[in-house]
Parts: sequence; C-alpha cells; structure tokens
Amino acid sequence: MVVFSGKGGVGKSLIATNLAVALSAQGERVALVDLDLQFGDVAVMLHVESHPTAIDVLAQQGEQVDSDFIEEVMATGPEGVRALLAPASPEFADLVNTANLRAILRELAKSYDHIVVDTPSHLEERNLEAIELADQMVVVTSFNFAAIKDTKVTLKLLQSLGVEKDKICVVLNQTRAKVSFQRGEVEDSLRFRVLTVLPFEPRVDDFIDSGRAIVTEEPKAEFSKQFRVLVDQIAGVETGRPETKETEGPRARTTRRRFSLGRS
Amino acid sequence: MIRVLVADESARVLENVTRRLGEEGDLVVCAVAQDGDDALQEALRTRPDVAVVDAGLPGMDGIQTTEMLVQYLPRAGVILLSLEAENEAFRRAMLAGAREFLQKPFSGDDLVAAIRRVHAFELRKSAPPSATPTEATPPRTGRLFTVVGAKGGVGKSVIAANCAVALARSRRVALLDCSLQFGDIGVLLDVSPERTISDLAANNAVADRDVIEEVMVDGPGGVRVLAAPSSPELADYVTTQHLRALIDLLRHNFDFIVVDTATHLSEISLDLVEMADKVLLVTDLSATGMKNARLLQTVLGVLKVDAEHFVLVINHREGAGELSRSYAEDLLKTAAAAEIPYDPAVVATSIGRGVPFVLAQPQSPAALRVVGLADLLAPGSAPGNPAEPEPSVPAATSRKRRRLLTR
Repeated sequence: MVVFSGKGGVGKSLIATNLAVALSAQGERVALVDLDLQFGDVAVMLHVESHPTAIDVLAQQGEQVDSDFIEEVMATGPEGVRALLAPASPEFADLVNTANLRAILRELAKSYDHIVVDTPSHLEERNLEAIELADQMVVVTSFNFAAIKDTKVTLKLLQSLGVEKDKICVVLNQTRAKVSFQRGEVEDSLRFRVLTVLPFEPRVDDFIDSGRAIVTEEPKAEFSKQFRVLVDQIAGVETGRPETKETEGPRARTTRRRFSLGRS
Repeated sequence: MIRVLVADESARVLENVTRRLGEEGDLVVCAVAQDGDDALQEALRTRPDVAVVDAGLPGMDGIQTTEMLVQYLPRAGVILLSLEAENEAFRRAMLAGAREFLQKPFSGDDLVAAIRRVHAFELRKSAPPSATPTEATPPRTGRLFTVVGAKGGVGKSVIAANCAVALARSRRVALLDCSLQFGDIGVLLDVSPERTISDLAANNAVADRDVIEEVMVDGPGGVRVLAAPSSPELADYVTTQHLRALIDLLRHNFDFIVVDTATHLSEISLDLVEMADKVLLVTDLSATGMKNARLLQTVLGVLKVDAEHFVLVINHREGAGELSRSYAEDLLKTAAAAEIPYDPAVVATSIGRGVPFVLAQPQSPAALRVVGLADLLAPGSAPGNPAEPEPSVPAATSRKRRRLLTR
C-alpha cells in the first residue's frame, strides 16, 4: 500500500511507519519502503539513522534485483519491521529508476505480506509506479484549507490514473490542537468518506524523537485507537499479486506520459 | 503576406476556410491537404507561416502531424482544430506543440484572429534577441527572493506569502508560486485565478509582458500573484527556460520577486535558487525538519549559495518535540534571521480566512517578525512611518472560505 498526500507536513511518514510497525506487531511480515528519496524520514522515525545502506545501493542491480541482497540492505525497526531506507543525501535519489523500483517491489511482494510505501508530497515517475502497483492507497490530509485543496486535486488525479475508489482510504490527521471545522465538512468537500480521524496527540513528536511507534507503545491513547481503524482496514485487504497488474488502461498511460515530460 | 496551410479531411471545410481567408488582404492559402502525410509533404514543399490542422485527420492524425510540423518546420506556428472541447484535447494540442487550439465549429473571424496571433508570435520569436526590448524598458533591477524548505508543513508558503505582502507596503512585489504540482499560495491568499503559470508556459508567453500582466492577479496588500497550475500534471509544461525568461522580465517591472518552491528538489527549484539574490531557508525545529534542512543546505552549498545569500528563518509550529534555536544555528552554521512564533490565533486563523497575518493582525508577534524579516531583505524599504496596513478583513471573506470547503 502506498501512503500519499499532496501537502507536506500532514503526517505521511508518521502514518506509514506506525502502520508498518502495527502490522508487524500482529505477526505479519512487513516491509516499509521510503520513496521520499530526497528527504525521507523513515530512518529517523524508526531510529535507525545509523543504518549504513539504503535503496540507492540496489540501483546498480537494475531490473535483476537479488532478494538476499535486498534483505542485507534493509534495516530492522521496532516490532521487527523491515525497512528499505531513503538515500542518505538527496543527490543519490536519482540513482533509483522506475524499472529498478518495480523490480524491488515485485521481489518484496514475494516474501512479505504487506509492503508499505512512504512517498514525498510530489508526483513523479517512481511514486506513480508504486501507486499503479498498489492494492491500497492511503491518502493523508489534515484540517486546513491548503491540505484539503491538495487532497481534492490528489483524489481527482488518482481517479484519472484509473485507481478505483474502493482502493483509496482517506485519513484525516489532526495536526493542531484546535480546528475550526468538522469531519463532515471535509468529507463533503472531498466528496469522499474519511476512514478515520486521528486526534491531535502532542506526544507524537516525542515518540518520533525517540524512534518509537505510538500505536504499539501506547495502544490506549485515543490516537492509537483511531489508528487501529486504519490498521484493521489494511490488514483486511487481501494481498494482491502485482504480477497480475501488467495492463494499464490507455487513460492511465496518457496521464503518466505527461508526467514523464522532460525527464529521462 | 501570411501564407497558410490548411489540413482537414473535409473538402467543404477546406473550401470554406480558403474562401474566408481570401477575404483578408494579407492572408493566402498556400496549400491544402486532406490527410496527415499529405499535410506534411505540402508543408515541406510550400513552407507556410502558419498551419491550420484538424485533429481528426485520417492516416497520421492531427496531433502527430502537429508534432512532425513542429519538428521539421519550427518556424511555422500550428493551430489545431478539434471537435472536442475538453481540457484533455487542449492539453494534447499544447503538448504536441500547437500554438493555438480552436474548437469546431468556430467562426471565420476567430480563425483569422488566431492566425494573426500565431504569426505575430512566430515573428517575435525569430526576431534577433537584441531587438526584443523595444519600448523604453525600465532597468532590470528587481531582486529575486527564493523561499525553500526541505520538509513539508514547516510554513514555507505562509512565510513566502506574508513576506511578499510585507515587502509590498512600499514596493512593487510579485509573488510566484513555483510549487508547481501542489502550490498553495492561491488558497493562502484567497485568490483563484483562471489562468496560471502553466498557461503562460504552454502558450510560450513567458516573455510577453501584456499576457503576463493579464494572467497575474491582485493579491492582498497590492501583491501581484502568479499562481501555480490547478492540477499537478500541468506542472510539466513549465521548464527552467520558461522561468528564466519570466523572471528576467519581472525584474524590469517589480522591485521584488518572491518565489515559493516545492519541498522536492528539481532542476526548477535548483535553478530558482541559483538565480536568487537571497535564498530563504524555512525550517521548523523538529528532528526530521532539522535533518532535512541540513541536507538541503549541503546541496545548496554545492550551488555556491554562500552565507551572504542565505537567510535562515525558523518557524515554530504546534507540537512538543522542538529542538532549541541554538542547536539549529549550530547545525546549520548560520544565525537565524528571523524566528516566527507559533500562535494559532494568528497563523491558523490567517490561513483559515485566506488573509495574510501581516495584514489581518499587524501587531501580532508573528506579523512583527515577518515585517522585520522583510526590512532585513530590503533595507531602507520600510516606510518612515510604517503605513498602517489596511485593517479591512471583511467578514465576507471567511464566508467565501467556507464555500471553498463545501463546494
């Protein structure tokens, strides 16, 4: 599943890491892939900053990635979650290309029950590739006008890419103590049901700083309870086989082509 | 004499268009074609100034034909005709390299006007560069401030918008939203222009002062705003060359150009940094924010953004996990030029209403800090007696904002 948002700072990485850790705690085999290749934060969130290897190491392997080698490159976070980290510095981001990424995701699909992909708040070939392979999209938004506008645009775009509606869950993350409108208003505006609202949790930053996942460490917190809704939804989704998804609609192809303009 | 090639499957259309263009003294149809291959051959033979091509040509369709014409006859401007009115059709036309798009049925007058526009554009394009600034051009003195951030949600756009408004108290300021996929300046300033930077790029009008003036809209406090495209896929129309030409022109007409960027590093954002007179790096004090600010600073260092051009802005946001200002300054080896306090009553309200807080609550600590930052960026620009910003924040605004939500 791919976690995306057009707006930065709404809690994508927080949600991706907590989701991966929570699924892992349930005994599922989970791989977390940080596709925010320039400024990925998964390493910080899982407290594995000193892990020496990241996804760019796999770049030379092109389309022939070796699963043992992937395992060597990955880090291990809380609850045994396995993570393929973003490069240490933004200039290495471009080493990873689409074919390479597709091969990595396919390989991971063979040995893991869930692959959680964190993304930057920017659309480009590589995260579009992940979106296309995804069984489930988690779109994160927040209680502010800019985030809601960006989410509207995102949902419209996913539709034009041919992503089916029932594959998308919208998660509303309350990043501030006080908000001036309601969940219902957000749903009306997006014309989309919000799966769960994560309440404001001031300790979230402390958890991030210490590299712990709030959902497993503080299961009684209201944040964690609401987060469960997402975990249960995702855990309930049968794992699909990306191999069967070779065909893309013509519409999806033209929309994608537009993104590849001016890029190699 | 403007020589025109017309390609359409229908003989009747060819006949009508030829007759109508013949009524104009300076237009002449030099060739007609009923399929794409024929159109290309005729074009190579007669070298028209303008080609009018129907999208639904048999054989090689109109889009492909347009692509070929643009490639082989770069000086011929193409006008694409289509029965489809959708944005989709328009985008395809522009991507193929057409200069104009006309939906069928169209009037003869529309076609004639389009032909003249395209021809005039091609003439301008091929004119030697020295001849470009014709009228008395004001000196190119505008300064460019590029606002960057390495983590989303740290307040980059809010600071760019408020800083632009603060600068506009006494100077002419342009605010460009170059967060091209998901730019939020429009939402923050409550402007929703019909046309944006991608229209300028798609129509190759980045160096056309009149068109730019038309596409820019008035934002609060007299700031002129050029908004980001309405949908992310339109972002790809905009290239670094477009932005260079555009900013070059804006430097003549404005004292300051404030550019907001995406957190994602791209050729475009790096180019905007390179062109900038000052680079404002906005960061919060979170662990991930600091890490990314440091990485970004390293990348910018490669571009030789030296200390003199570098302006560090620390923005506080809600949440407990903040590192200290001194930690940030040590890590980034830079003294912060401004530190904006977090005050939901000021900042969040301002975003919610679409009115920059430097106007809505000019006496608030956040506004005073941003005004301080603006004065630092533009020494001597502060009005001797700080003009009281318009206190008019009409209640209607917030009602309009609610509509945005429920729409």
